[in-house]
Amino acid sequence: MNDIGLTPFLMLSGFLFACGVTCVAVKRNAVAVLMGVELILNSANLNLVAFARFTPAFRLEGQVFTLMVIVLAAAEAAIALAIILNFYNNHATVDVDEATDLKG
Amino acid sequence: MFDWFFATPGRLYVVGTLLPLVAFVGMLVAGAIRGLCRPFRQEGKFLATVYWALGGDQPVKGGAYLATACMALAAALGLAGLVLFLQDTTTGKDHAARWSERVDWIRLGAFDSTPPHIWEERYYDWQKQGTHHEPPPAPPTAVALELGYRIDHLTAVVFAMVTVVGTLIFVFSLGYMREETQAQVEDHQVDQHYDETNAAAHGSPSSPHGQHFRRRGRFGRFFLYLSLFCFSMLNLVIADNLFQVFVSWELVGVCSFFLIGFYYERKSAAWAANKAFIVNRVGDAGFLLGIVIAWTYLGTLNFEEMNRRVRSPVEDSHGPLAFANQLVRVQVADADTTKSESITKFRLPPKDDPTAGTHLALFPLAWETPDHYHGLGYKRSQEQEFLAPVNATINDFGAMPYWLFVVMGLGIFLGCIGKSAQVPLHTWLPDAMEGPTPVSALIHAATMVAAGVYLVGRSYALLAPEVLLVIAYIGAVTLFMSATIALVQTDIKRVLAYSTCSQLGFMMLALGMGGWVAGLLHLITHAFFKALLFLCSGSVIHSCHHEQDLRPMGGLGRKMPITAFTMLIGVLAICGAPLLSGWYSKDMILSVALAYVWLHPEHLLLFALPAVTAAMTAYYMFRLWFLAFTGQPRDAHVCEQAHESPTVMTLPLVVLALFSVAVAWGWPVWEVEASALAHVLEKAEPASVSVAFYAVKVKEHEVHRLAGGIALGAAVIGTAVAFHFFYRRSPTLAELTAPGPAWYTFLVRKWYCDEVYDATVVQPTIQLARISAAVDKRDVEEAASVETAAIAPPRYDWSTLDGLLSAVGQLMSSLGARLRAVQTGLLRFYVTALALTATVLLAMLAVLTR
Repeated sequence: MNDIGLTPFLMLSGFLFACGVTCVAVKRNAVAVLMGVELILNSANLNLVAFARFTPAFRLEGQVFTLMVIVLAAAEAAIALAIILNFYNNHATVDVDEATDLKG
Repeated sequence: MFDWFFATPGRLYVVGTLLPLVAFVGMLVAGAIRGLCRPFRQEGKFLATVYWALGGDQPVKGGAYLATACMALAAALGLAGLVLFLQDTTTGKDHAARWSERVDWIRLGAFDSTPPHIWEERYYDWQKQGTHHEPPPAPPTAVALELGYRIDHLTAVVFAMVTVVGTLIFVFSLGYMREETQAQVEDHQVDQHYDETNAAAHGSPSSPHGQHFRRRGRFGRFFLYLSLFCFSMLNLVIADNLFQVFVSWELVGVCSFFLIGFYYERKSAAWAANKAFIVNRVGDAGFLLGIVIAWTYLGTLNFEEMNRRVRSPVEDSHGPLAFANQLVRVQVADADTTKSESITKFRLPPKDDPTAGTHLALFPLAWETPDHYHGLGYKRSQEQEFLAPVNATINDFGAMPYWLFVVMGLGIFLGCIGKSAQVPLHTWLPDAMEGPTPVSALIHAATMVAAGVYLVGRSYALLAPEVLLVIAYIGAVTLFMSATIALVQTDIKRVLAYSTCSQLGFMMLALGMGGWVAGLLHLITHAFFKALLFLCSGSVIHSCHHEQDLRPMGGLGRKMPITAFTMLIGVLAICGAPLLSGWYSKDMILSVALAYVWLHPEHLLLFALPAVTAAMTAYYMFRLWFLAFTGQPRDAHVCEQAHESPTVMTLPLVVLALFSVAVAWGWPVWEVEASALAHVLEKAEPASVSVAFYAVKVKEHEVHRLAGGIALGAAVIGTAVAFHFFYRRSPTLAELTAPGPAWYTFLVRKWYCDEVYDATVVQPTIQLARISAAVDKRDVEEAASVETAAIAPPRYDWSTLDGLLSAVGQLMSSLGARLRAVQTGLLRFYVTALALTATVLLAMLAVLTR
């Protein structure tokens, strides 16, 4: 693992992040948006563990943060799904473009 | 109780001054309570009782009687005070303690109210103990606005005059204003259209179309204003400092405004009230300027202290001073000798050229070493130089630029010009005749307009010789101009109004030429006979159903003999008929004028104008009397119902007539210089008068018979001419109303003064206001569109201030409207924007940090 160095991890992380953002920006389905968010979070996780591995000072902290993000992601998914369900109940759709009720 | 008064009898005057204020406040409070109780007048037991007890729906009558009683009591106190004052034998500090008091009102600076004489005592104690002790604290240096009174002979006499004339006029008003006691008064001079346009605004009851305006009687309100006026006037008279005078000055001004506009539904009355107020403001601006200069340089506004500050003391430790009671002019000493920048050295100018001094020396009130001091003078034992600190207090030597001292005098006199209706601010007084006649008598003839003359007399020591000359010339021009206008006026009150201007001019003339006693004696005598004349005209107007035009009148003497006879006395008095009060004062004025002109022939006009005017005075006064009271009625409609006025009105006439005859008498009666009143006033004469006008005074005694002869001859000529034209030939109505030649029109139009002021001052001001309004504000229609700017596209207006300010708001508003579009509510759009922004920022970071 030490041979390949930090860079490939960061590149993979950046790629995942770009995929996630694209997914959030492009998809109209709320569930797909949620999946994009998961991708973004996990790209961040990858970043954290990679830095933890290659920076001795942060060996423990990076992993702890990653665990915390995983917990947060679970909570976020629960809340987001609840919101989506409610939105579906009210609007009979999960299209995020329809969610313009609070527009100024 | 009485001990309290007799210890300081000056407090009689304070009580007398406050009595009308008590009446005023009482009436005001009662009126307010009645107004508050009015909604409960039907139900509500207690409040309804209060309402009906305070007069109910009827105009208040009780308040008027209360005010009259207060005024009568004030007159009693004034007369008692006068008697006590004349019998008082104390002098010096005892006299001052008995007849003057002062309290701080607003104090600036160190809080130490120790009077100078206490400080002197401390100083002596210190010297006795030996000088190795700590020296006593320095004398007080703080300045304060004060309230105080100081009674001297002038104050005592004028106070008695104001209260007596005031009381008589209050009594007269009880009769004259009788119709104001009705619940509904019909104003014949206001048409219905006023009601229609204002009914909504005022909620006044509307009456059938085509009739005159009806309103509630205002009996109480009339006496309310009169009481406030009397308080202010009395306060002005007893005041011992310029600021208190100024406060009262403004108060009498505002009372005059209220009373001129008493019939405010009449457009002319409203205009006249505004005119009087605004014209007086011009004068007051000057007055205020004078006060500010006095305050800045003299450090005090107390009359006595100001006098001691600008006039040299009579003597110093080495004997009498040559400059005693004079203004001393000094010049800045050579700059090289000045050691410190905060101290300037002043020196007397060369002895042969005293006017070379550019500054006026100011003398300390308390000397640095109270037991020994040096005055200014040319003798060796006196100082020729003195040091003046930059921030000189009232206890230091000081100096002020002489031209500023002149400006101060002119400023104070400008206030007097406004109040006493002198040229060029005389135009308000004739218009002030729109007020009820008792008001014209009390305010615009007898008392308030005399306040200007009184103030000139009071602040005489502060007036430089140049200012006095200006005063004399203004007086001369005024007395001549007003008299010429009075020759042709046909309104009975306007003749009297111009005659008032003219007589005030006589007073100013006398004061300006050193005839201090003559001018103020004329103030007193004039107050009585002019009040009498006005009340007589009021009686005529009252009986002729408010007809004021002299031309339709005639033959009223048979129908109202008391009025006719008392008015004849007034006319004779104002003409200067021998043994009547006006004779004494007018003779004195003319002899002063003659003496002055004798000594200064270049000022010939100052005698020629009053001499000619004496003839004109007799002419126009007798013209008025003949037209009103003799011959046949020229208009039967006006005169047929004329009748003598009730006793409540004729009684004051008789009393005033007695005063007009006898107020200036002395023994022997036929000797002008024996006038007792003049001798009383002489005791109050500032010492500076005898110093500055010694030669005039000496000459006056030599020429007064000649002057008296000239005055009498002029009066006889004027009377004879009037007798010829208006009694022997008794003109018809047609002759009187026919248009005259050009000079006649010129006089009827009052020398076109109003027209000139309208063209030069009023119209430019209105134009300037219009231009300002145009620059400031867009018109209403456009302004309305601003409010709908959210809907319609805004219209910017860059040409006006208002539009410019609105444009800032409008711009922000439209910017906001555009930015609204960015907030789409689309989640994906936000995320894209966020991601792109982050990318761009990171790219920038990457590029910039490379």
